[in-house]
Parts: sequence; C-alpha cells; structure tokens
Amino acid sequence: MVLNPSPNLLLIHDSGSLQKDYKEFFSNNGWNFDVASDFNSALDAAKNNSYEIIISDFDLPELSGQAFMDAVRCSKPNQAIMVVSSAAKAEEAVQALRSGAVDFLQKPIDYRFLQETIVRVVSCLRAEEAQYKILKCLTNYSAIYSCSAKDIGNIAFALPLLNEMHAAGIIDLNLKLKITLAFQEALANSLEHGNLELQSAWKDEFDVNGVDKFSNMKAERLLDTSYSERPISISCSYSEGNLSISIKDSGKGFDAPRGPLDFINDGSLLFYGRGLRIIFGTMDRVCYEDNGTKITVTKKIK
Amino acid sequence: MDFETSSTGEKGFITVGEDLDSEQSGEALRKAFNKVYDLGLRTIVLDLNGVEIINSYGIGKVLMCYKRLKADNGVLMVKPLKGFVKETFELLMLDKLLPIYDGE
Repeated sequence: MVLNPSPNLLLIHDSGSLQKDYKEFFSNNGWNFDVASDFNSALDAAKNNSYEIIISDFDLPELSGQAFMDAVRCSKPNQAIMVVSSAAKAEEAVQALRSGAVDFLQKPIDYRFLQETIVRVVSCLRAEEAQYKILKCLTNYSAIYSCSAKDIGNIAFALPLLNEMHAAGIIDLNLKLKITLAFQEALANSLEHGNLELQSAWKDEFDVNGVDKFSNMKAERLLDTSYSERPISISCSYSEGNLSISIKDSGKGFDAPRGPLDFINDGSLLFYGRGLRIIFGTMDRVCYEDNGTKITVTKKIK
Repeated sequence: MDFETSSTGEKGFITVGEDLDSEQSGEALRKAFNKVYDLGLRTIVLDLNGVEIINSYGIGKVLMCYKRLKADNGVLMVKPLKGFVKETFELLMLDKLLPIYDGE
C-alpha cells in the first residue's frame, strides 16, 4: 500500500512510549508528520498547516477530543480527523464519529489496521478532491471542438471529457458508455444525414458485393470536399450536475422528432431511427434547434 | 481485423472480438458473416461477449446479417448477452428479434 505523494499528517499525542511507536510507524511508511501534545499547539498546527488527516488521541488529560474537533472545524470544516482512544472513552469516540470523524481506532493500536485505515482514508480524500476539482473546473465549463466530416468520418470519436470524468470516478463505466453512445449516435446523424446528406433508405439497396448504397455513398462523399469539408461544431457544458453536449451540423436540417414516441411505432424502427431511439433512451433531455441542424443532449450526472 | 468463425453441424459461429462501433469492426463482421454464409449455413450464432461497446452502426451490421438470413429462411442467434450490450439490445428490442443460443 503506497501513497504517492506522501501524505502530510498531524499526530496529537502526549509524550511517552506510545508516541515513540507512532513516530517509528510514520517514519517507516515514509510519511510526513508533525506532533502536537496539547490543545493549543495542536489547534495552532491544524490551523496553520495543511494536513490531509489529523490523528487525534482522545486520551490526553488536557484535551477534550470533541472540543478540539469543534475548534478545528470552525476554521477548516472539511478537515479529516481520525480518533484514537481507549475503550474507556469509546462513547466519546462514537460521538466524534457522529460529528464527522473519518474513523475511530481503539487502543491497543493495531498498526497494520492503522496503516490500512490511513491509506484508505487519504486515498478516498484525494479521489474526492480530484472529483471536486474537476467538477469545479466544469462548472459553467464550455468547450468547442470544430471538425469536418472527413476528420471523423470513419472513427468512433469520443469526448476526452468523459474519459477524464470516468478516471476521476465522477461517472461510472456504464454511464460513460451510455453518454458516449448517445453522443456518437448524435454525431453520426449530424455527419451522415446532415453534412453528407445520406438517406436512410439507401441502407436497403445493395450492390453485387453485398455492400449497401448508404456505405458506398458515404465513402464517395467523404472524398468530395463539397460535402466532406462542411464543418461540424461540438460543444460541451456542465452546470448544476447536468452535462450537456451540443452538435451543430451544416446540413439542410430535417423534421426533428419532438420526443421518443414520435418514432417508436413498429418493427421498422429496427432498421431506421435506431440512433434516435438510443439517444432518447439513454439521455435525460434531447432538444433540436435550428431546423434540426443542432441537437443538444443532456444527462444528469451528479 | 478478423473475427473468428467456426461451424458445428448446421450451425455457424462468429466470435466478435472487438467493440462494434466502427466501420473497421463492422466490416470485419460482414466478412466473417459472408465466410460462414458461403458455407451454406443458415443458422448463425453471434458471440458478443467480447464486445464492451456497440453503437447504431454495429447494430446495423448485426441487422444486415439478420436480414440476409431471414430472406433465406435462416436464423440469426446470439449467445447470452451481458452488460452494456444487453442493455442496448433491450433498449432497441433486439432481444425480441434475435433468439438466444444457450448451447455451448
């Protein structure tokens, strides 16, 4: 179990043999730590430094653990505090947990358990911090990608933003796949039916090699700059927990559906309109503008 | 990119080993299908367990296989699906169209 970078810790404990054990334990793990042994110095250290976790011994004679937590939280409401206490003060420790302590460890100290707990808590805090930073960056975030049909004609273009959100744990794999799928369907519609002006009915016309006319015409028009260089604009925005993706094509537009019921009718939807069904089925909100040349899909993610 | 094909008795099998979300994988499916179809087999089983992502394009290719077989009184089956692919098939009601093949 390795924490990289090494965490900064504050240990609140009076001098004694146990403190020596603590110090040896932290040093052996290569962790940075400060030690405070009374209420005031502990509070000063907590206020004036940035510790990922404070390990507070509730057995100090002059230190009320709850009072210390309350005092720290006045200036640092999100400070992670782990409580260590003897069985005699278990009730106070439970109260500390109710007040938001990240964990409670009873003496005698099981150092292996202490190590696992610190690694787990610090890892979680770092993951939450990373998520918070990304979401903060995303608040009122907007990015625009400009491309043409020839840029993305034959690739499954994915938004880097979704990979970042998944890596940070903001969205799980299933949600990432759903949003990616809806996005790719919307992009394919804009590209094929918008910019390249391909008709769905061509999917039922085959040449002697079994290749459908739709695919043949797509290949042909991707080589024709009057089609393939038409721009497509993709914009992403995030606000109040909602991720929105807009795609604007340069086609002639179409009679956009007002909702999923417009095109769920019979078996024919299996061959036409699958993309729209996927989009409506996976996203929370779908909106067409500009005569059907712009689609905005929205998904609540937080 | 090539997908593995095999046959047992009157059944042909295609193991799709890549995500079905691009022209490359769609073309690989078409080639694999033609290979089995040209053997005269009219019951073909798709194994999509190696597929994590499928999109409309990939589903279109699956449906083309279905249409060609149906036109020749054949059947396209799928091995039991899971995860995102299963959800997508259910969303599009493909699970009603393509019977599940439970054999080994």
